[in-house]
Amino acid sequence: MSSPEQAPFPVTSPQGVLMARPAGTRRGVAGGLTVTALSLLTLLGVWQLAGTMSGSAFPPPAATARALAAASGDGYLWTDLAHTLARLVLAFILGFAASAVIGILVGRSGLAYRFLGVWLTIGASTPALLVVVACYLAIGISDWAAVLAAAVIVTPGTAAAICDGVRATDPGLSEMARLYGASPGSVLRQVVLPQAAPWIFTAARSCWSLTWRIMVFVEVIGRPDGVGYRIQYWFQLADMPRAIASAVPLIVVVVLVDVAVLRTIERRIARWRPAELR
Amino acid sequence: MAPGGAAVMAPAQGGLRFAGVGRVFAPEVPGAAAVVALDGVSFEVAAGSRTAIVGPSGAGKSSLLHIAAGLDTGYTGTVVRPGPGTVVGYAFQDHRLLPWLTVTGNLTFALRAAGWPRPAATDRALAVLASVGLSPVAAAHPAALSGGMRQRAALARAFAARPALLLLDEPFAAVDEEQADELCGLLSAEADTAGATVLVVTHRIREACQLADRTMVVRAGRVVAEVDTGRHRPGSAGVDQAAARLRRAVAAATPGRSR
Repeated sequence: MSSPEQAPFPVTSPQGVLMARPAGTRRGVAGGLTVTALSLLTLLGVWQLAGTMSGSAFPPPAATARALAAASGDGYLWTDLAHTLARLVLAFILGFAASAVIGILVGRSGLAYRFLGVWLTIGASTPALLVVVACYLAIGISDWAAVLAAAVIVTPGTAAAICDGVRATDPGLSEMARLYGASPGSVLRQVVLPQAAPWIFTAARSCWSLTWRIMVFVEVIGRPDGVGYRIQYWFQLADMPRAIASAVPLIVVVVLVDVAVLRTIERRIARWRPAELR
Repeated sequence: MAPGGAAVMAPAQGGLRFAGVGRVFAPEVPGAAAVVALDGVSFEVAAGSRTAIVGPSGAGKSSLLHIAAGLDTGYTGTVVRPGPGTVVGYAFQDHRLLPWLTVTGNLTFALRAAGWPRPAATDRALAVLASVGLSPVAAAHPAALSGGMRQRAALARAFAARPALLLLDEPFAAVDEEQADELCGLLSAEADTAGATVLVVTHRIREACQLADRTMVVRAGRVVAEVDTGRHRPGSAGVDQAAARLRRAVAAATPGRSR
């Protein structure tokens, strides 16, 4: 007999099959991979076309690959990537943790919503450059200022998205849980957060993608290393193949984290949802 | 009287008392008339007794149940209900199962919230699911169940923790009459074991006679009749006789119907 915590589909009852796993799952995965591969090939084709048409301003894939190989041989590519990733991960953890706390608080409390909601709107509307300059001036031009600036910039939008998810939860389920005697902490953990999880994960992915773009920008302004610094360096020397090649490893890592980590966790958490809503 | 009438906690486990309770809902559309859901409702449900509420849709039955549960505090008048810490079971009309938990998980959640230790909660959940015929879907999520099964799961959750106060809102609306009779018998036995006070809202006269000792007829927010039907075993001759008496009382309390 299967464990009560796992739902072995198809579920059968005396009345017959109630719900079956979507048919042809393996074929569906293979089809999805084929479409993804075709999509990437098309992107390379568009890149090649754009590179050919724009002359030296936008190097095609082959020129970028040669620049990438040269940069890898020089060694700076990987140290820059390591510096940027370290700052990026710290800023993401800091920004997302702050967003989660603020978003849940503002989403759960009417008073906090009225009081802090306008802060989030103002925060999301403040130019990123202003925040970066303010952090560098307040803390000094350092890695910590760069991390804090990126975290501060991504927090309002991420917190607002989490707040929306918390506010979209079904009040009837919380009511039920309280009636049955669940504590406020238990209602939050076991009733509110599972419902808000899809919003929270969308917010996490959007926070991740925003954090790396902001981090590259922050490095352009005040760091002597990192991907942002290197792009600016090659840009000033008008070496576009090298400028683009500097960004490629970071783009690959960021996409891998999004697809392999964040989306995988999201899919696992959403397993209870009907297939068409996942 | 201002909304949020006096709610005095009853010392007796599970007893209820309503004195002159009113509930008015503000209009959803500006300019429309306010909706009077309850208008001076007074009654008492002794601890351990069973009361049914029958009446047409919009009569105020569910509002009454919400106030009894403490979910709605915007009423006027006095309500005496069980104190904090009393285990309450509520079978919602819209089941309100947590969709990300399995059926067993839903029952275990309610049992744990009522203070049951985890191993005992799991054992009890599985035993209750077996009693309502849901063992084959114990590991399934609510989305995989039929409407009737969901309602049975919600009912099982309501009485799983052996509540002192059991509130049931149309508990058998989504199951056929035969299953409803079977579940009535089961529910009666569970309520007896727990010594629960039962307040049940239903459309079905026969259900009222099988589940409750007494039935109140509610119309336009008022209690217009009370009938001591006595409690009868499902399928017994007494059910038909009590149902006939109750139908006469409902007809007598209904304007424009033959008396």
